[in-house]
Amino acid sequence: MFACLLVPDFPVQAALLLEAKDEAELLRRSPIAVLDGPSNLPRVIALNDAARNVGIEVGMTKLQVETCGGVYLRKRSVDHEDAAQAALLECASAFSPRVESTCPGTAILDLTGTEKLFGSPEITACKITVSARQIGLHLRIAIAANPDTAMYAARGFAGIAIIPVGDEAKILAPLPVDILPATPELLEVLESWGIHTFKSFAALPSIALTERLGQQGLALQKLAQGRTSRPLKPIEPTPDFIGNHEFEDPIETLEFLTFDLNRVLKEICDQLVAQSLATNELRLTLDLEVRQTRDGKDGEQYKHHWKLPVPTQDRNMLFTLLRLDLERNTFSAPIKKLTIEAVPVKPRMAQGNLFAPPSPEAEKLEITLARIRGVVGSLDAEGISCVGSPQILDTHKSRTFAVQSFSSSVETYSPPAVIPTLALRIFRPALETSVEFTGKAPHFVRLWKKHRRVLAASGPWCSSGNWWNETAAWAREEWDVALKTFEGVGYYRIYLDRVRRQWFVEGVFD
Amino acid sequence: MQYVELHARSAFTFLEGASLPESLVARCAERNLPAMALLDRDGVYGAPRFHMAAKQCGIKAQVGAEVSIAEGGSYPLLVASRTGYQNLCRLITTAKLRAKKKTVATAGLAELQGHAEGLICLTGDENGPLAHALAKDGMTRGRHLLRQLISIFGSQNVYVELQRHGDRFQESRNQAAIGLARERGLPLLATNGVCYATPAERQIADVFTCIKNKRRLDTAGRLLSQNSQRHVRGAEEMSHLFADVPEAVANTGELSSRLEFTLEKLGYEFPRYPVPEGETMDSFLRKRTWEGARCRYRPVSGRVRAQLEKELALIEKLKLAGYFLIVWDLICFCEQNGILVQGRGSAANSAVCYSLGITAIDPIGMDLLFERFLSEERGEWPDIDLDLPSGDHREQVIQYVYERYGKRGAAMTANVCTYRGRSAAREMGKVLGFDEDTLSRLSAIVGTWEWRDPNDTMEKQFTNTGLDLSHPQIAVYLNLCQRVQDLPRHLSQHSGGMVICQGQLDSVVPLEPATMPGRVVVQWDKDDCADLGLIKVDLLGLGMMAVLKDSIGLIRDHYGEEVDLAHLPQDCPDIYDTIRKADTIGMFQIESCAQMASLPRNNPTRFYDLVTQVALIRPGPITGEMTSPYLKRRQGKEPVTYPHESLIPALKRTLGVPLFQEQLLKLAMICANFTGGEAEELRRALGSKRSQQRMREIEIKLRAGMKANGFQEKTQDQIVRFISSFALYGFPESHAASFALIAYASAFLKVRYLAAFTAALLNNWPMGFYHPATIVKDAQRHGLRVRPVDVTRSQWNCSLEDDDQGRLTLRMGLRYVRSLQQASAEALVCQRRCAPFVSVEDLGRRAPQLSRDNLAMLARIGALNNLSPDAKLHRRDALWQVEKAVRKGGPLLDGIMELDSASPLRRMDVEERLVADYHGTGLTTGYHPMAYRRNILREMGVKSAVELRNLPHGKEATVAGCVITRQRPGTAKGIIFMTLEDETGTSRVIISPDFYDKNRMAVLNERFVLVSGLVQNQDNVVHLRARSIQPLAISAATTPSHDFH
Repeated sequence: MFACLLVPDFPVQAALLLEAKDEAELLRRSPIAVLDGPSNLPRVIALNDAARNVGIEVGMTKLQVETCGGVYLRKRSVDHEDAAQAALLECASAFSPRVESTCPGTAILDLTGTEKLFGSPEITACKITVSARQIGLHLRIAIAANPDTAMYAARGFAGIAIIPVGDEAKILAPLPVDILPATPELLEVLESWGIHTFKSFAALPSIALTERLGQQGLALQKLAQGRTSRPLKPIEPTPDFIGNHEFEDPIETLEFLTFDLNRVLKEICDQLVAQSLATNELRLTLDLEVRQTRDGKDGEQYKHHWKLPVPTQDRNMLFTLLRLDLERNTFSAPIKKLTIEAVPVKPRMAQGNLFAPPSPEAEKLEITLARIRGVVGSLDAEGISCVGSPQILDTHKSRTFAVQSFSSSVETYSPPAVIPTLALRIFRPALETSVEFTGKAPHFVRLWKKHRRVLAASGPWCSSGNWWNETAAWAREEWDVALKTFEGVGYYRIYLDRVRRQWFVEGVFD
Repeated sequence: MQYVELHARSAFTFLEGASLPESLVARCAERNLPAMALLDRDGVYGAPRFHMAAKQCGIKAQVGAEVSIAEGGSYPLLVASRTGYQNLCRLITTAKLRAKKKTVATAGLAELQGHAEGLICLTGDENGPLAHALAKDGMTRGRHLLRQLISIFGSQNVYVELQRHGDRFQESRNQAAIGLARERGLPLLATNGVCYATPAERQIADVFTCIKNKRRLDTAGRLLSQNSQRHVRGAEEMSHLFADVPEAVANTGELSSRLEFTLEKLGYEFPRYPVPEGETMDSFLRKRTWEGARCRYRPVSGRVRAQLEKELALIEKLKLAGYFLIVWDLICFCEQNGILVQGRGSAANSAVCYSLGITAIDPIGMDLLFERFLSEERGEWPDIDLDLPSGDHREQVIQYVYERYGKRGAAMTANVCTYRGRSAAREMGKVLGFDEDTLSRLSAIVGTWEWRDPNDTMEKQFTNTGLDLSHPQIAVYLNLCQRVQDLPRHLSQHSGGMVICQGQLDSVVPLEPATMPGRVVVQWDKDDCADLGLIKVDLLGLGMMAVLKDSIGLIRDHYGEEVDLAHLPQDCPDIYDTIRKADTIGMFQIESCAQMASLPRNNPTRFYDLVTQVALIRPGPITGEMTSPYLKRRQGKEPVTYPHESLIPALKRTLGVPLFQEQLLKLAMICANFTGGEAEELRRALGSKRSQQRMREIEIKLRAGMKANGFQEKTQDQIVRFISSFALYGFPESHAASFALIAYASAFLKVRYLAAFTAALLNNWPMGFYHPATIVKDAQRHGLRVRPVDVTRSQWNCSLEDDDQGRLTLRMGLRYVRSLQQASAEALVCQRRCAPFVSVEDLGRRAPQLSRDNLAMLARIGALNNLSPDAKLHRRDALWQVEKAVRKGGPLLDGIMELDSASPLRRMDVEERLVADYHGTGLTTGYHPMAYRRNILREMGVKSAVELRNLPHGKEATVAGCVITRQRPGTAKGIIFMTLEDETGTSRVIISPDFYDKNRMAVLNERFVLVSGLVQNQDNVVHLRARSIQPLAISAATTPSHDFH
């Protein structure tokens, strides 16, 4: 026998799982709706019976729901739903070793041989219900001789439904056909035939039906008759690729650390090889000894993670990456514990492109980049990545670029449309300044804490943009000025940020 | 220093310019610019509006265009003389007519050379030829280009253009341009390359850029403008900006003074009509008129003679004989080809038009005012509109005009499509990156009722649909939606206006190909054409003309009678009885709810009553509060009085209440001593949205005249109110009379030949006020048997056939089957003629054009029920067979006729049949859905439509029905009129604005409703004033409602 556990209004129940128990019970009895969609027009995607009773429907906007009054709103969270699904599977696993995660909010378990442990199907279902309630899930349960029948019965009937062998068709009979996994076209045909329930669908002559709706129609009819048989696809525990080592005495030198690091990495890589897997993401956590300092606590934890361009099982390469990172960092306290986690993925099977120009191996490139990061750091003062390929953004705003990570794929280089004739050395960040005007042209500019006379000025060069976005709107007025300095004449670019109403020196011309 | 902006674009540079020509002119006036040149891209679309607005402000409107050239760049060309204008128009026309669909029309440099006379060329902005040349090959190429331009236009006619928008690269180009100009000794010219009137409109320009490039604002990048500097600048600002090259600003004034041409001197001439040797057009017209008059007027009385002489003399004086002869020629063409045609509008005021057969109304017999049609002092061309049967016949006449006057001698007038609520909501949403679902939702909620509640703002509509206006993105969205309202989006063709010109029309206005093959349109809309004195003939398609023509054919074939519309029996009591009872569904002009509500009060008994009836329900008389007094006087409930005794002759026929445009002209002539022409000018000014100033001036003159004639202030106000409420929103008497003729003919055919008339009406739908479902039910209530679609009998069109008892029956045509193409239906009919179909499989095999969906739809609506020779199928039998017939068994089973077992499916029940009928054909030929629930409704105390009519005024009642129309007229102060239909007839419900606000969903969305309220039964006109409304679960059928949004 198979039992299907179904969580009705799954996104709502998932949202309630995070609430305190008393609060959740209170909310469960109140109208509650879960919203999802773009931030400017979120809509209801799920709701409970109390909300249905006050006239809320799926698809309503937030404002429409708010006009009904007294409805609790929650934003949809995939993480919460994943957590709820995990809780459901955990609950199911307590009653059977073979549990299938059929779809979000639904699990099917094989109850064969569990009678001696839990009793009859009815008793088992009651026990499951009680167990699920304890973790905050209200279930519908159906038990049948095959997984599909159990699933459709759970979808169609509230509470607990036990379907005796041989009575499948009779019990499923009143269910509507639109819960079957049919294409919209096929459902339309059934609708035009006046077939609305499993019963009337099941009663159609099979050969004539196959002549009209093909094998798909026949398969659906078997579902409606409760005559299908399919193997369960039970979830299997996924091996975790986590290794750790706790030091007897906190260590302070890299030498000791790398020894154990290498050992833990080897264990993980051996596991990956054994499972025919590789990793493209590595997480390192170092637990530090907590020390009390004058400013408060210090130490605690160091975390870092690497995303690799290609999956690998190569221990040496991974070790080099970790070592380079550790060499670059100094820790505020001795290390107590080391943990490494590898995210398993399928190994790379692709063959290199015969016609592509030669490029460095992805693994070697990654190590080189790590070395460069070790020298220049990861981020600059403005939070822009220091290692990668600069990409000019398509905007009128000057000095707007992004740094993208190098990739091993070869990209064609397209030069910018306009190549400036003068090189401008940009100050990052720009220097705040003040400017005095005579008429409409700047006369004095404050630079390096001194007022500099403007010998010549060219401007104003005006630009503005993003007017449709209150927070990102910008407008500036630029001048290129020749300033009298101690060395002689210096050529600078100054600009007025019209939004902040502040002058800046942007850079100096070479 | 004087400055003239010589390079401006308006919103008629579609999706680029962001201001209307009027806004540019207003800004010029603010900035004290004496002139401006409008250079829209590849056209002079905005020139007439620019010209008219500039004339009002005393600014010189100079003409030009940016012409796209195949070799690269847009050449800004200014028109110096009329020859230059003609060259520009021809150049653009040549490029436009040659261009392939959805490509930019470009002219070649060689063509530019051939059309250069009278044009002055600027070197342009970043899209101009000089910028292209410099970008391509630097100064060398720039020098070459200037040499080329000098050789084409002459060194006096090339100006090197400078613009300064605070852009470094533009300035480096400017410096190169200054160098080149000094080398070649060419003058510099400062312009601001205006794209919008004020800096704030840069946002609209950015939005348009996104729409044009199919991008969103946040992905458009450098396609958007760099800053907001392309607005209209004053002389001081420009002088400061170009302080280093002052001659560039000074040259603008000098160049402007060289541009002599304005649209005042357009040089349009109406074509001459070819006449036999020895004749002049005048003499030829005179002969044709007298010939016609002798047939029309028997005998030609002295009054007729005098009127004709007067009209002919004026036509001769104004040199309009050619125009009349050309329209007469069209009438002759229609007569020769058996096409029904009738002149409408003010042309019916002319005895010459009546004599020539252009109109069907005797203006002398009806004492119509000729000056409404034509007057000497007005200086305007007359306007003759011809009603033709819509469809192929009208197209035949249009093609005849093209053939006769050449592709470049005649064209349709354009129609400027502008951003309105729904289109603005959709496109602004796209630009801001809203998803498709949100867009559909937004555009669906934007209200489009004719009447706008002042509180029903876009803000309110957005809030109602669940948009949070405090969200910054939504606030920007709303702001953009409001600002793009009324800006032009693109050009389409007007429904019927044709402009004809002597010589080449393309030297007067550029021509473009229309989307419809074989059509050419001018770049101006009908108002622009009228403003600039272009004469046009409106060839309007009138669905009812086609209905009349088709009815006559059906009557000939099935009744064996010949009906001559010109000689219908007049004043038949049975026809007027029907009209008086407001039993007028399907009749021309008198079928709307408002007409039905006034018919019993007006109580028409003769033709002239119909004329007043047609004119009565128009926005002019309604808003001028003339409808109600007139009806009361008709019923004798109010004494007939006149504002002044001198007005008795003018208002006597309409019981002291002006109903026709001619009457207001007469009022002005009598009260204020206006001449006929002045009075007509008054009417036009009052009705024109574009000329507030002109309106005020004429009103002052009118009041001064009335004062001089001793009219009291109160009477003056009353007369001004009469006139201003009318304006363009009332009918001329002649026009009303032309429509009344058609209305009478439609009533006559409906009463005497119901089957033929109904079939013709259904075959020419969409037209009129009601959906076919209502027309069919109305015909059934009048005793016509209507049979459903049947593949063994139906044609494409609805047809007539005899039933078992020899009675005429209407058979619904295949055209009413949803998604069935005409070609597929005709293939079916063709196969049926060879041999009858014997099964569904036989039908599917012999008519392979029918898709699976077609066959399934035919089965669902019962059109396959009679396919089996042995036994009648039911709809689901047929559906069962269709699914098998469309699944081929493969080559092995081909040709094997396998008898199928009986279908296991149950019959459709009544509800399912109703749903299938309405879904598949939009109507049912069976019982009305309400009939199936009558017993229950009766138990609930619900009255039927017939019972409601007999209830006394002020009684409480409840009615139920299917909503067939919803209307919120612009003249009804927000009241919604809803028509409910049941098996006994229709009932009308009045919904007040407050009630609507509280019951919006039920009023707008429900198909069947239960309404309770107070009966308003006055003069046999019955309404129910709603106090409660509830949805009613009668049927899931998708019954249609014709909602006037």
